[in-house]
Amino acid sequence: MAGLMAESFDLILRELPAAHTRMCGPLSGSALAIEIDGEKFGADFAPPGVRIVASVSSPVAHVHSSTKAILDLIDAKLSLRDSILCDDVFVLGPLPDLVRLRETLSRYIHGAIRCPSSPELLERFRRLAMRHENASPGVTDE
Amino acid sequence: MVTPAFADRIEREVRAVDFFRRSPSRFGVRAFHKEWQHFIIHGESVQLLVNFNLLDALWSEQEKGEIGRLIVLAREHDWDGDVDSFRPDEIDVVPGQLDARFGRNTMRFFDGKFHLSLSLAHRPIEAELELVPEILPDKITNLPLAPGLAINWVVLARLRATGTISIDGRVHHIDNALAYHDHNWGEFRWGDDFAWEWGSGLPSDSANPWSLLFVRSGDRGRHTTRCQLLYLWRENERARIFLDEAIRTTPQGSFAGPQMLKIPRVMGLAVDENACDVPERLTITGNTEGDFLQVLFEPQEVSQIVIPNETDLEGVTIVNETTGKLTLEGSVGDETVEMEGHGVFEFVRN
Repeated sequence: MAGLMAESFDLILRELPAAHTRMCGPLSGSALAIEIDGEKFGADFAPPGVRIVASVSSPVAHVHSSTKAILDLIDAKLSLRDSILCDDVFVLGPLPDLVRLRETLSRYIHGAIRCPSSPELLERFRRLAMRHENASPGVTDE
Repeated sequence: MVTPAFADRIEREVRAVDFFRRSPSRFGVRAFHKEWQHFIIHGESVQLLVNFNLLDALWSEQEKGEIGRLIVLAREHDWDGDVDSFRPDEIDVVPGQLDARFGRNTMRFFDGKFHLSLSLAHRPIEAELELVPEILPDKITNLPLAPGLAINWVVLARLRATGTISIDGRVHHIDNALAYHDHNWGEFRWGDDFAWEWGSGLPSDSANPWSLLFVRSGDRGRHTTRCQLLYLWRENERARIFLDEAIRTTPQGSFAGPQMLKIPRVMGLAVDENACDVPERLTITGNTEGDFLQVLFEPQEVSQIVIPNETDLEGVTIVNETTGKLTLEGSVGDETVEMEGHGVFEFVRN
């Protein structure tokens, strides 16, 4: 997951650098601690951009979720608000930093949707989410 | 009733005017070409909106040429649908012809019929349809859109659709249902200074002879109207055109409905409000030279196609696809005009 997220940031930087700059603005100088399906990593928004790293020392916010929950957001099966309310997406941090995180997410979506190579990357993410879902405990082959 | 001779004439005229133009970007120039072939099918138990959409890839230095987007909205009780994207090497559209392939989805015109074959990538919606035009196409060119920019149009206001539409495994058999088709093309960017209202009307009773089209374009703030058209057809002939000053539109109220479907679905993460800037009722009157027409459109369902602006990095243009009840009355020439039926209106805002 960390690798795909890094690729998506690089894709926006390569195909639409102005959107990448806009995306990095709100959290510039900050870092996020992320955990997806138990995989822990960080997003370091040290200027001039963002890097996916193994860990960060002083994150302004923690984000915990799953590839399935992220796919449900992408496919609009749940809104972001409902995902947070039902703990599919867990965010922890001071409110001003969460507001900056929400703005970063919005700019990320606007950048990614404009990049011609995003659909291909999204397909790879779908395959990853499917693998995780099939490997989840409680799921058995008929 | 369309005679075989008239059907031949329709086919010749459709081939003569409705062909794909395609972007001049294929000759290596920078262009902002937009082009789409649009279909609406009014089945008894389902409505389907299909749009084969081409546009120049503007955002990437690496990616050149036109990309394809297949927009599909289907409604049983609620709307479902999505936008599938296709890279230049996944589309096959020959300029001058009326055939398109976007991945596994096709639109063909042969034997006097449009043939649609659709299957969305991530939503369980499929369709196999034939659409037979019952009316001659109208070609409307250089409609003012934004300063210095225009859009061109071919409209077939009345077709008959036959085939199947499948939604999540539920198969709807379509038998001679009324349908609408148009084709637009032009050079503009999403996010330029324009807004439009467009609507088509077809009767619930397919024996009713009247069909209707309305267009209004203006600036994005809707302080200025740039053009207005109100077309009326009786059976397969154009009965009346009202233009510009002869048309008055009166929106009333503000439509408020349940959470609207937004497509592409991921855009719900970036545009999460439920406002739609659609009126509760829209009255359109045409009045000239003794002819009078009054159209009342009452929206019932709205879904939104969210298009990333090409003029800025975080703006969007929203196409509010709106279905509802349409009532038409008036008099044209010696005839009384009366119709109740389906309206599909677009309220385009940015």
